[in-house]
Amino acid sequence: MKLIVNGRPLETVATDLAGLLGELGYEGNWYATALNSEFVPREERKRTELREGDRIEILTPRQGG
Amino acid sequence: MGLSLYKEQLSSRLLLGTAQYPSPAVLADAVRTSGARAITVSLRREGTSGQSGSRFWSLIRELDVRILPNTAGCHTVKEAVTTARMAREVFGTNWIKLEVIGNHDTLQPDVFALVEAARILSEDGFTVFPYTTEDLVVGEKLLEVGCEVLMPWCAPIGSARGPVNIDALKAYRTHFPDTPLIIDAGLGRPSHAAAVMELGFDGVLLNTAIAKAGDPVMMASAFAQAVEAGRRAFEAGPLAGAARHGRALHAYHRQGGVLMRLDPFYLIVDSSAWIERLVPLGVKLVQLRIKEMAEPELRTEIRRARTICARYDCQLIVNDYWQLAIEEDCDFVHLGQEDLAAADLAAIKRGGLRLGISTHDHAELATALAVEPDYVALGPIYPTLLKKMKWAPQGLPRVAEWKKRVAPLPLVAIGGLTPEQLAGVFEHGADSAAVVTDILRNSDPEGRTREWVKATRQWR
Repeated sequence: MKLIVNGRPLETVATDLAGLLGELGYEGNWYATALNSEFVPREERKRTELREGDRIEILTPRQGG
Repeated sequence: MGLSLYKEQLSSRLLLGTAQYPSPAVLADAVRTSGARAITVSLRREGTSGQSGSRFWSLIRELDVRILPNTAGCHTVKEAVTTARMAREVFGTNWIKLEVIGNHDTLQPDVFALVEAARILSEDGFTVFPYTTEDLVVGEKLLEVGCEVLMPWCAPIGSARGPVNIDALKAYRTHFPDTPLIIDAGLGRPSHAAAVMELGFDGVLLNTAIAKAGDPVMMASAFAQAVEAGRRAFEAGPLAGAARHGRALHAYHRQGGVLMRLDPFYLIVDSSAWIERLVPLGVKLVQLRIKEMAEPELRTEIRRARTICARYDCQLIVNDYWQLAIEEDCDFVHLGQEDLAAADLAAIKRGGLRLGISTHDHAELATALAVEPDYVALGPIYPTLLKKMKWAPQGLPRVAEWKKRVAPLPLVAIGGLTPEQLAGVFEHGADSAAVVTDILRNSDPEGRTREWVKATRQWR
């Protein structure tokens, strides 16, 4: 299935958000996720199913003003 | 000297952004050197393999300061709200610096989207720090939707131009006398920070001016000192452009917010003639309380009282007529609760006047403390002949309770006091005892005044 992850096209076999994060090697709790512009809390990633063309954002702490 | 934001106390009035430092180590050094107790951070996309987000998160946790995540880079309500919710999960805080950018070049906020996003986030339990312009109506709308802090810019972000519109900033401070106001964006040099702090702003948030300096750590120290200096100057009551000699002297005496000490004998009279008769006998604190009088006569009375008090080094406090007090170069007013409701407190503070307030019950005390007076008066302690009052005598235990509640402010006890009762009120915590009837209705007011001077000597 084709997704847009952080603005870039990505091919995945994952079917839910937690699966996608595992596939991309994300561990720990230092990032947050959104699906199609809606925040997805950590505990809901596993039951958040992915569909063709979904836009996923994975954001991490950065310097900011 | 601390900064109170959403009921949290920060020991520094300087907040720092964390972007554009030459290295994480320099950032950490600059934060520590500045003494800042809050820093802003953001959330960004990370490449699928990187760990830099994790490393940065470790670094800022080690700094042990309050984290203020921002919504930098968001251009719509939706983006800002979603980013805020993501930040809350990662950083574990309800604090959010809300930015909704309306213009790519100047990074001017889209204030319409800002207010809407602030409303949604406030309802969702966030404590919102909105980055806004100096527009007063926008500020009001932000408060209406739940913000308790406002962060106006003083010039476009990163422009380093400093306060480009001083009059607008002054108007902003005056318009929101009780809201913590932090200047966010546009400061370039420490002198800019000092300038806005002198206007009475509660804090400044800085980033580029420190991060891009030749030596960021040294610049952090310079800004910290400038913020401190500006704040002290504000609390000391800076000389206004048209200030006269008296005001300058009073500003000097304010000594940067140091608590004043009241003389234990506080005489209250209703004419300058009484002041002329009694102040030379050793009275060091006198209130002129005139109830009904036309303005020209009133002005003459106040002027005369001030002249006599100046001659005898006696502190004059003008009851109620704060505008005349300012115009006549007096530096201390007393307001009852009704006068307080009608008074322009911002003008009183701007005029550098100190302020005492009467209280009779808990509700009035809360009202009084909210305006940060210089002393609180409690009455009537004992039955009093002078005023028909709805309040029963408060009694001494109440004096003790009040002292506990108003400390470190001085407490003035008033109502039915005589020299014989002074030990009681002072032992229960009063700092000064006010008197009207016992002297003015005495068959020998001069003799009674001397007795009061003598009886209060041990608490002077």
